[in-house]
Amino acid sequence: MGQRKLRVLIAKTGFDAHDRGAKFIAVGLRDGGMEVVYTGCFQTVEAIAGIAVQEDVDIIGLSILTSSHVDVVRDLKRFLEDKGRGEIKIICGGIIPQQDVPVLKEELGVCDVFFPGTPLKEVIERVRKVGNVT
Amino acid sequence: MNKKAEKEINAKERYTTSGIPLKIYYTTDDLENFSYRENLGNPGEYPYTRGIYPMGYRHFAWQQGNIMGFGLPEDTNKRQKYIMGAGAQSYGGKVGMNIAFDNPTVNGYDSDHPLAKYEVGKGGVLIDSLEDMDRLFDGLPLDNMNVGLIIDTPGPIILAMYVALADLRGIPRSKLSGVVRNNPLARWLFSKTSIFPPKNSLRSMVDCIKFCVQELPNMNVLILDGYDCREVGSTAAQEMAYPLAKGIEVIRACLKEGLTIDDFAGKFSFFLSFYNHFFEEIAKIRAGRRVWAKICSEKFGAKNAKTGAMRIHLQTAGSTLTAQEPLNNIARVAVQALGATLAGVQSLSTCSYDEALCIPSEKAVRVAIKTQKIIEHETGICDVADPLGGSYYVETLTNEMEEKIWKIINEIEKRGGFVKAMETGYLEQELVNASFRSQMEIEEGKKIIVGVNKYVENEPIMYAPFTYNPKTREIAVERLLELKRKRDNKKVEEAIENVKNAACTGGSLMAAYIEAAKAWATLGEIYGAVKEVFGEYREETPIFPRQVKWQVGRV
Repeated sequence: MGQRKLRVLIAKTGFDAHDRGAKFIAVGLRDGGMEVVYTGCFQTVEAIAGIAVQEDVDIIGLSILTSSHVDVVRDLKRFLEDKGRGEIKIICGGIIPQQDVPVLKEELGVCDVFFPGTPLKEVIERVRKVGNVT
Repeated sequence: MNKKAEKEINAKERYTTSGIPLKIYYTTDDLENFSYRENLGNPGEYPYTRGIYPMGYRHFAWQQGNIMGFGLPEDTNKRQKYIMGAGAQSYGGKVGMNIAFDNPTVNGYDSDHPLAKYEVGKGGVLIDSLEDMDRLFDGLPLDNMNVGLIIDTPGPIILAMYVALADLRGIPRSKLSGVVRNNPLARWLFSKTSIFPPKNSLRSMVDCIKFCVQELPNMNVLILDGYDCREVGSTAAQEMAYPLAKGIEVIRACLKEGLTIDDFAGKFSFFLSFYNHFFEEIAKIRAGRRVWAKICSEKFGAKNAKTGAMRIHLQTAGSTLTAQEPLNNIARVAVQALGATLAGVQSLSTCSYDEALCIPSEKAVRVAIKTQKIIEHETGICDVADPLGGSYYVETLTNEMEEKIWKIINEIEKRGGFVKAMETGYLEQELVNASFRSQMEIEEGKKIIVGVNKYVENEPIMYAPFTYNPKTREIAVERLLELKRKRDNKKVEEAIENVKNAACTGGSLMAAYIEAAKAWATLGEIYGAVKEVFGEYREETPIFPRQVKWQVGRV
């Protein structure tokens, strides 16, 4: 009896169009047995929340390289809560200083933060853990 | 491990990123049919394999073209003055300023646009109007400067603002020197930022080229870029071949407009990367010069041999920097910078050691500038042109790179040229496949990155991130409101109408941009007007790597 596959949204916001990493992770997670939806670039935070709800995802993975992670996560949470789906988990990757991790995790409830150079195998394991899947 | 097994492993085949097999050593046999006259030429002689200047670096060393930009225009102005103090300079003692613009500006949006909410002044300087240009160049001599306006689709508009500023300051246009990147097609393929549909992108590019040929004799008109290609994950051969193929396309478009190749192709310049494989990178640059020279002279019949002399601005590869143990990056950048100068580039931008993590701190950017100065003054590099010329290895590798580059160019031409190959998604698919392949090599430990997948220290990635002024956006928005209050809005409306007319009727866009800039129209207003007429090109579905079976070394 198979378990429901973990559904993950990989998203980039605004004009941040450096998508090499995001695409790699998207394919990696798919090959790791998850269902992945990729939003492409030029999405507003509200649109990302909308897609997440529409696609009924378990986790939103944000790829951010523009130092805007705290503001983006804060707004994303708000939009998700407005749509009644505040329980969707959020993870972040990209360029995020260690100093901001406590703010993201403790204040804003981000489940995991991935630094550059994290091996793909580890990413898959940790994402599964976030989704409570073995 | 026994000696036999060790010998076997060491004798295993090795390849460059472009798939060229490497022998254990090279001899005269490898250069059997090699002709010095035809394949090399002296430095400064067609086909420029050995460099484009007969004096090498003896006359002028390469320019320090470290790109920079962040925050409000006055913040960038301050950083510019700082790096000048640290020794950065352009050719002939001019002031060199290579400017990165923030994402909203690069996409043609003002700082008050909702989509720009998180990115104003991050990763580049914001420019909303001629007022901002004035602040950016405060106290800097426009008539003694080599300016790099590193911006593509709205590039002509930014250039127009620069010209308008010079006009207002009473500086003759003939004294304006530098380059505008003006390469919307690059934006599409490598960074997905806004561009017009390809036909109109070419129109926009050619309009700017034409204006520069007529009005700005010392301004270079186009940067053909391989750097972004490489950062996306391409091979060295692709990095060189794609801008060359794009150059062919733009030449054709300019010729259609009635320009002759000797008018404009000599004003193109190339932006390349220096990656890890030391000798492949050098061979790539030397081969690229030879190919471009042949394209201009043989393919398009340039009468002046200098037209095909490839001017190169090079930045050490950002994606080779590691967030882990940032000080290691100083060594990486030094090696890459050395390679670039051995290959004979004209302008060099060295990455700062903390650049994998943030906008460079002052301390780090100073080291990056000093790295170049050390190479210039302490190594003797500037004494002899093309010191690697004649090496059995380097010349063989240069020949083999040339072959690979032509193969890719011909493949693109077979598909109808760069634009058609772009529209069908072919180019992007190739890039994505190459990118995936190179990442898997790292994941599988086949490609070693010191500190990341071998010789790893278990330390957290701690650094002092660049602190952005949190009020940047607020200040920018206030300034926009104030500007719109002060100016003659009727004049702005007329100027914007003129821009639309020029776009519709095929008139000079640059002239309309300059008038609009002088009327204090904002970047967003001007760009919005052109976009209304030209349309916007959007990705239908993102392209992912197919299930390509990748093997190290074979492409």
